[in-house]
Order: sequence, then C-alpha cells, then structure tokens
Amino acid sequence: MNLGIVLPILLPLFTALTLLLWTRPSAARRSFAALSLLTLLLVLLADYFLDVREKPWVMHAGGWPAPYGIALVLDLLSLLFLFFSAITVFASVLFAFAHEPVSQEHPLRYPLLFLLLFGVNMTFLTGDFFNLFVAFEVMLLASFALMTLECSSDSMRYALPYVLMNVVGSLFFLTMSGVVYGYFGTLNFAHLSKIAADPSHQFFVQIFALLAICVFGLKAAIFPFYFWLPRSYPVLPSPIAAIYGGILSKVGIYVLLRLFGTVFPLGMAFPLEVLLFLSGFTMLLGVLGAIAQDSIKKILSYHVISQMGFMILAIGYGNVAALTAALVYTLHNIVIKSSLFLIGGAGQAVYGTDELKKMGHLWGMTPLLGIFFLLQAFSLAGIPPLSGFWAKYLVIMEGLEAKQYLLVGVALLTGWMTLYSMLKIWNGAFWGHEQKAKQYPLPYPSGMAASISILVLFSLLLGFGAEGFIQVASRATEQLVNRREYQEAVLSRNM
Amino acid sequence: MSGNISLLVGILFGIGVYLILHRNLLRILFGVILLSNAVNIFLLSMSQSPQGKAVPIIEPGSGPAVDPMPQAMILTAIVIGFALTAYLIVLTFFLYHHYQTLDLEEIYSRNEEASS
Repeated sequence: MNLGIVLPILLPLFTALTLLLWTRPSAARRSFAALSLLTLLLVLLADYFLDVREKPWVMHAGGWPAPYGIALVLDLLSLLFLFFSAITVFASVLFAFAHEPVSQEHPLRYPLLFLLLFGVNMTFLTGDFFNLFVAFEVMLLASFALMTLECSSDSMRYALPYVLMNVVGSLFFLTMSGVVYGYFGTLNFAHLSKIAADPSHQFFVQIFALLAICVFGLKAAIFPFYFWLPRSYPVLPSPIAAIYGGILSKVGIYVLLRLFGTVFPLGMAFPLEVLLFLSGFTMLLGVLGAIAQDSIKKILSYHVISQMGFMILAIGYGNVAALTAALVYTLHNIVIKSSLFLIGGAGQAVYGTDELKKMGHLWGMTPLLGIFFLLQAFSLAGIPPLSGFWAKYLVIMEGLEAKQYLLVGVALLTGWMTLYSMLKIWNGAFWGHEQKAKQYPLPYPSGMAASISILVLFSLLLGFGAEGFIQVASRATEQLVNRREYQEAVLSRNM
Repeated sequence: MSGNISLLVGILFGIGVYLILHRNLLRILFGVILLSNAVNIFLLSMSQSPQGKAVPIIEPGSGPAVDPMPQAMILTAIVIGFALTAYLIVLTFFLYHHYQTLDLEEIYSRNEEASS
C-alpha cells in the first residue's frame, strides 16, 4: 500500500537522476525513458484495481503522525489525475522521439521532463500545504528550465512573462501559507478541513478561499491572471507545449477541486460567486483571443484559457454533482488539449512553420492527420458522441439546475466560437492549396501518428464509454467530499 | 513587536512590487529578491513573539518553546528562492547578451530576426 503511493513519485525522480548521469543521447536511453513511463502507467492501473476506490490510502512520511508530519494521500481523484497525466506524458514523449532525431537531442531535455513529472505527481499526492508548495516549485523550476532549453534565442524573451508571473505566484502562495498557518495553526488538508467546519471561523475560511482562488487561478490561467500563457506557450516545441498545456495548467484546477471539495465547507457563497464571475470572463476572453490568432499554437494556447473557464464554472456552482462535472471536464480536456497540440506539431513538421497562411492542403497529403484533427476538434467543441459532448453536457446541465442562465448562455456561445476557431485551423492548415512543404517527405513519420493515435483512441474510449467514465468520476467526487473518511484516514495515529 | 514587523513587511512588499513593475530587467530582478525576503520575514512574524520562549530544542525543564514550523517553512522558502533568483540572473544575463539592452520595451519591440 505504501509502495503504491510512493512509486508515482519515486519512479520519475529516479528516472530523471539516471538520465542525468546517462548523458549521451541514444536510442537505449530513450527506450529507458519510455519503459519508465510504461511502468508508471502499470503501477497506476494496479493501484486502481486494488482498493483505492474503497477508501483513500495514506502514508505518513518518516513515521511522524499528521498533522505534525507530512502525509501523502492517494484517493481516486488523485489517481485519476495521475493516470491521465501519465498517459499524456507518455504520448508526448513518444511524439518527441519521432519529432527530433537522436543526434539533435539536448541531453537535459528528458531529465527535466521527468523532474517536471515528479513535481506534478507530488502535487497530486500530497496532503499538506507546504509539501504542495515544494511540489509546485519543483514543477515550476523544471518547467522554466525546459522552456528556456527548448525555445530559440530569439524567443527567449517570451519565456520571461511565464517565469516572472509564476515567480510572483509562488511568492503569493507563500504569503497565503503564512496567513493560513498564522490563523489556523496547521497546514495539513485534513486538519484544516476539521477546523474549517466550525462555523465560527467562517470569515477567515472565506479569506483563505479567496487567496486560494488568486494563487491557483494564476497557475490555472483564469482571468485576470492568464496573460502569461498566450505569450509563452507558442514558443515551445509541440510535444513540450502539449505537456504544458495539457497538464501544468490543470494542476491548479486539481488543487481547487481538493480545496473546495475537502477542505472548505460546501456552499460558501462569496468565493463561489467570485469563481462564477471570473469564469464567464475567462471563457469569453479566451475564445475571443483564439479567434484573433493566425498560428496553430497561438490559437490552441488561447483555447487552454477558455477551457479553464469551463472548469472554474463547474466548481463555482457549489454542489457535489457540479464537482463531478468539473472533474469529467478537466480529465477529458487533459487528453484533448495535448492531442491537439501534438496534431499541430505534426502539421508543423510537414511545413516547418505553424502559421496558417503558410500551410495548406494537409488533408490531401495526410488524411489520417485530418481525421485525428476532426475528431479532437469536434470533441473540444462538444459534438456527440465524443467525450467533449458529455463533459459539456454535464457542465451545462448543472448550470441549468443551479439557475445560472447567463453563464450557461456564455458557455454555449463560447462552445460555438470554439468550433469557429477550430474551423479556422481546418481551413488554414488542412483545406486549401498545397504550399511549399519543408521537412519530412510525406507521409510524416509513423512515430508521430502512433503517439497521437494513443491519445485519440483514449479520448474515443472516454467518449463511447462515457457512462463508465462518469461513474468513476462520481465515485472520485464522493470520496473527495467525504470529509470524515479523509480526516480519519489521515489523522488517525496508526499508519 | 508585531507592529514593527508588519511595518517592515509592508515596506519591503511595497518596494518589491514597485521594482517589479519597472521596465529595466535588473530592477525587476531586485524586486523579486526583495519580495522573496519580504515573504520570508512575513512567515517569521507568523510565529508568536519570541520574548520569554526557549529555543525549540526540548530539554527537561525548558519552558515553552518558540514555534518551529515557520522557521522550517522559511528555510525551505529561502532555498527555493535562491534557486529561482539564480535562474533569473542567468536569464537576465542571456537576454542582455542577446539584445545588448536590459530595457524590456526595447527587447519586446525588436522584430523577429528570422521566421520560426
């Protein structure tokens, strides 16, 4: 049981260290990295089929009982996030293998990627705020280093907004931890949820919630904190952009789900209203920005922002079923977003650029890529029976039940405009006349097709198996809001 | 004492934020350094006043100890802040080397040298 919790953290860490020592890029080194990711996936599957669905697993680090020590908690919510991010990283790494030959590979790329995965996995597993801060910082520093490693020297200036805003965000995170510790006396999630249930602390719990919205909203790129994202994601190479756009932004959503589900009492009016208010702006401004761009990666970066708005919208409704909707939407979006970035990357490999004016006729050259793009774009826009339809359906149904008619209208409008911006990519890159193709002879390397097909097949599975998927997500939400079980599991004296 | 520390933290936050909003990259760097120091002192002020309290090494007969949690948090935060500052310094150096200026307005208004 302890091994099941610790392996998702230790595997990426030891892989990163091994890859740091094994400096010369080679095919064997790449296979080692891929094998390590496969092992991670198998461990997570094994965890699912053991009894994580029944009750959360807890490991107290060093033997110190919580709240004096740090607890690692694996419940179904964490497991789902871990699994989806592991699949995304696996597909992106396979794409990166096909995208760049071994001779041109920078030896630090994969160690940094695995350190990033280590930080992300620790975020999903931690049960303590300060450990969360450390996990965020590991993730952030690895992402800064990876970003400046990968972008050309002319695009380095665009890494600066990303770095600076996230540094300010971390400092704000520290301030929030200080405030929370100063008032509540603890930083452990379970202990905080016990104290927060007491109605005499309501005012400070609301302040805590608002601070958390600012901090994790910055990480999750919601309005008005999103301005670092569209400037910095387009300069990344596509497999790295897929990981950043697919996973890194969703880490903030995971923390918000954990906070609003387990730590805060349900139904705090004011912070939820703030979330709803911000979500409307996020959705609209994100998709308006997407329509105005003329390069694939820029359009997709703005889409990340508007999809974040949907997730915040669902959290803001305030009831348990809405948390299920947010979870389903977030998970489906991890897969779809990454696969869209990878598809854009495959198109870029053919033309050497991803500006829509210089691309065209990809449908004639590689129909398979066109099919992948259509499937994922329709899923993003919410066309049945793909996974995006079920996710959007849940979010909108919950909105109608919560009587947020204006926001549901904004959500539907955003979905329509998302479809329009996807058609913009389709017309610019896939339709039209053939322009001068640059790098690969057609068809493009099968490694890229294989990696994209993993994500496309997985998202089709989510779409056609939606009932099972939603059932698993509801079980995860049930575990999330079952505060007493969580507190008992973490705060009991025996490990 | 808590009034003095609050004032100090407030002044440091103010100077740090003012510096971060500048257009010269070096000032932004110093703003980040000052802000991280401000946050560390803020964390320190979250432990109660150390008057009349012992060092947190528990021996038989020692009185109430100072709260060690904020001290642990500050140590971690200092180390992480140090790594972030080191990274920012190298990034600043690289940008200066490439653009021959530290003025952000000028750096962002230079056109792309070649297509991607």
